[in-house]
Amino acid sequence: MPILNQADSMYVGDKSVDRVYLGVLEVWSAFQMSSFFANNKQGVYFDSRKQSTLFQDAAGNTPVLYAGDPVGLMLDQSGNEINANQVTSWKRPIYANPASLDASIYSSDFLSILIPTGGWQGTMVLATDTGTASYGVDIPEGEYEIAGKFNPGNTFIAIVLRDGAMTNTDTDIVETNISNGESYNTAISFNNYWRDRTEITSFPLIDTSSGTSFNAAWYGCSSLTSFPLINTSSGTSFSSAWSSCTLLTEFPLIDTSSGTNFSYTWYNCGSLTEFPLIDTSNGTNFSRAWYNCTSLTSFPLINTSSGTNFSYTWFSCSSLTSFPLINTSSGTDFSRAWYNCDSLTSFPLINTSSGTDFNYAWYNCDSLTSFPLINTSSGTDFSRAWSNCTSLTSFPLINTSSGTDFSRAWRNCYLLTEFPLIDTSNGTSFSYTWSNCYSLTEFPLIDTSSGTNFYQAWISCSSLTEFPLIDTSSGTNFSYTWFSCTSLTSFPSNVFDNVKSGNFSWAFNNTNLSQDSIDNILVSLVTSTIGNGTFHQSGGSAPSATGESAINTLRSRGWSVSVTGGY
Amino acid sequence: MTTKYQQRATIVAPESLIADANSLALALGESAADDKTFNTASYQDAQGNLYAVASTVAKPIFAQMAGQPLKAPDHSPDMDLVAATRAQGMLQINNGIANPDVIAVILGDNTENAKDHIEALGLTPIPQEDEL
Repeated sequence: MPILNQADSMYVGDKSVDRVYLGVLEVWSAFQMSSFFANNKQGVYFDSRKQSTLFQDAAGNTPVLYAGDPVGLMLDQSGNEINANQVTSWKRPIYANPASLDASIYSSDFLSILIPTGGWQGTMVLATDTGTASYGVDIPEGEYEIAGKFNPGNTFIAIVLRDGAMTNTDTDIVETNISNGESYNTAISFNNYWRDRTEITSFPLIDTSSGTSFNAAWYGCSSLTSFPLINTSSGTSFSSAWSSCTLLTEFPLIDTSSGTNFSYTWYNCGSLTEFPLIDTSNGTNFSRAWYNCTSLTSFPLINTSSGTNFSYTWFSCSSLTSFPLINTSSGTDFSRAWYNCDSLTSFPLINTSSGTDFNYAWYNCDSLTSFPLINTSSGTDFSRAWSNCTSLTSFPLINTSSGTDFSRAWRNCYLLTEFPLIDTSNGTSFSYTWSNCYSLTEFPLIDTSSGTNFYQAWISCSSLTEFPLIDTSSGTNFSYTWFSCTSLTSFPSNVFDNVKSGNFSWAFNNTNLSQDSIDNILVSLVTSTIGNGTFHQSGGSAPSATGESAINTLRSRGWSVSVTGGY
Repeated sequence: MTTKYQQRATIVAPESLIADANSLALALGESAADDKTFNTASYQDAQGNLYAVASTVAKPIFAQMAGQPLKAPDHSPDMDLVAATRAQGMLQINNGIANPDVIAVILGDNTENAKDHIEALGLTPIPQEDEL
C-alpha cells in the first residue's frame, strides 16, 4: 500500500486512471486531499466512503464491515490524526449503504473531535447524500460534532475542515472529490438541515429551487451576518427557518410567494435593522414571525391579507417607531402581536374586524399617545390589551360588545383623563381593568351586568371624585376594587343591592367617601341580604347613625365590617 | 455476510429513572462511557411526563442479555449492579406505550428507525421556547 499511496499517477495499459480499488476498497486516488493540509495546516478530513477508516468501537479494535454496523471511530485522513469517535455505544452513527453515516437526530447520534486551542477559522466542505457545499466557519476550541444530529441531508458522506480559508478553486476541487454528485437541487425538505450550526459564518448560494419546506433550516445559525439570495420560490413552510440567527443584520428579498407558514421565521433575529418587502400574500400563520427583532426600526407594507394568526408577531420589536397599514382583515388571533413595541408613537387604523383574541396585544406600548378606532367587534379577550400604555391620553369608543375578559385591559394607563362609554355588557372579568389610571377624573356608566370579578378594578384611580351607578348584580369579588381612590367622595346608593357575594375586603380603603356615600354603600349591602361578608373602608367620613345601623344589621348576618371612625 | 446488528433497540427512561437506566446501559453496553447514554429528558408523553431516550442498533443477543442476571462488564468492573438490576426489573419490552413506572423498550428490525419507535411509545419531543 505505501507504494500505491505515494504514486503520482496510475495507468491501466496506457490509460490514466484516477482511482484504484481492491475489491470495494479504494486503495489509491489521484487526488490527494492531504495537499490542503501541507505545511502544518490544521484541519481534518473524514470520508465515510473509505471503509477502512471506520471502526465499530471508539478504540478502533473492530472494523466496520457491513451496512448496519455502528461507527465508533472514523480516522482522520488529513494527516493531522485528529480522529472522530463516540465513546458512548448508544450514540454511534450507523454505517449506511451507499457508503455514508446515518446519525439519528432522535437519539442524538454523533462522532466528535477535539478542536485545539485557538479554534479554527476557515472553511468547511460538507458532503451529504443530498448535496455538497462549502461554508465559512469559526469553530471554538473543544469538542466538535462530526456527522452530528443535525446534518444537511439524510446521511453524512464526508467533511473537510480546515483552519484558514480555502480559495474558491480549492473548495471546488474538494467538493468534486467528496460529493456523491447531488447538489441540493432536488431536495424538497430542508427541515433542520443547518440547524444549530453556530460555526457557520458564511452560507453559499446553493440551489434550493425544489424546496417546499424550510422549517428550522437555519435555526440557531447565530454566526451568520448575511444570507444569500437563495431560490425559495417553491417554499410553502418557513417555520423557524432563520429563528435565532441573532447576528443577521440584513435579509435578502427572497421569493416567499408560495409561503403559507411563517411562524417563528425570523424569531429572535435581534440584529436585523430593516426588512425587505417580501411576498407574503399566501401567508396564513405569522405567529412570532418577527418576535424579538429588537433592532428593526421600520417594517415594510407586506401583504398579510391571508394571515389569520398574528399572535406574538412583532413581540418586543422595541425599535419600531411606526407601523404600516398592513391588511389584517383575516386575522383572528392578535394576542401579544405588538407586545412591548415600546417605541411606537402611533398605530395605524388596521382592519381587525375578524379578531377575537387581543390579549396583551399592545401591552407596554408605552410611547403610544393615541390609539385609532379599530374594529374590535369580534373581540372576546381583551385582557391586558393596552396595559402599561402609559402615554395614552385618550382612548376611542371601540366596539367591545363581544368582549368577555377585560382583566388588566387598561391597567397603568396613567395619562388617560377620560374613558369612553364602551360596551362591556358581556364582560365577566374586570380584575385590575383600570387599576392605576391615576388621571381619570370621571368614569362612564358602562354596562357591567355580566361582571363577576371586579378585583382591584379601579384601584388607585386617585383622580376619580365620583362613581356611577354601575350594575353589580353578577358580581362576586369586590376585593380592593376602589382601594386608594383617594379623591373618591361621591358614591351612589343602591349599587350593591343585588350583588352575589360579600367579598368587599379592602374595597374602599384609603378613599375620601362622604358620609352619605359610605351610608349608601352600607345600606345597599344590607339590601342585598348577603351574609357572612367582609367590608373595609378607611379615609373620608365615618358613617352616620344610618350607616351604623346598617353595620349592626350586617354584623348580625355574620359580616366583618371596619369603617372610618372605628364603629 | 451482513451486519451482526440485526435489531434496533429504543429505550425510554422516565426522568426519575435516568440514573438507574444509565447503569443498565453500562451493563449491557460495550463501553465504559455508556453510563452517559441517557442525558436530558427531552421527550414527553401525553400526560407531560418526561423521558430520556436512547436508540441504537443491537445484536440479537441484546434481548437475551436484558433478561439474564447482570454482571459487571470487563470495561466497568465497579459499576452499580444494584441500580442496573433495579432498572432491568422495570424493563417492558415491546409491550405498550411509555409510562413513568417502567423503562419501555421497543426492539425491532434494524431497518426501523428511532423516530418511529419513539412515536410508537407515545412520546413527542418537548418543544423549545420558540417551538411552543
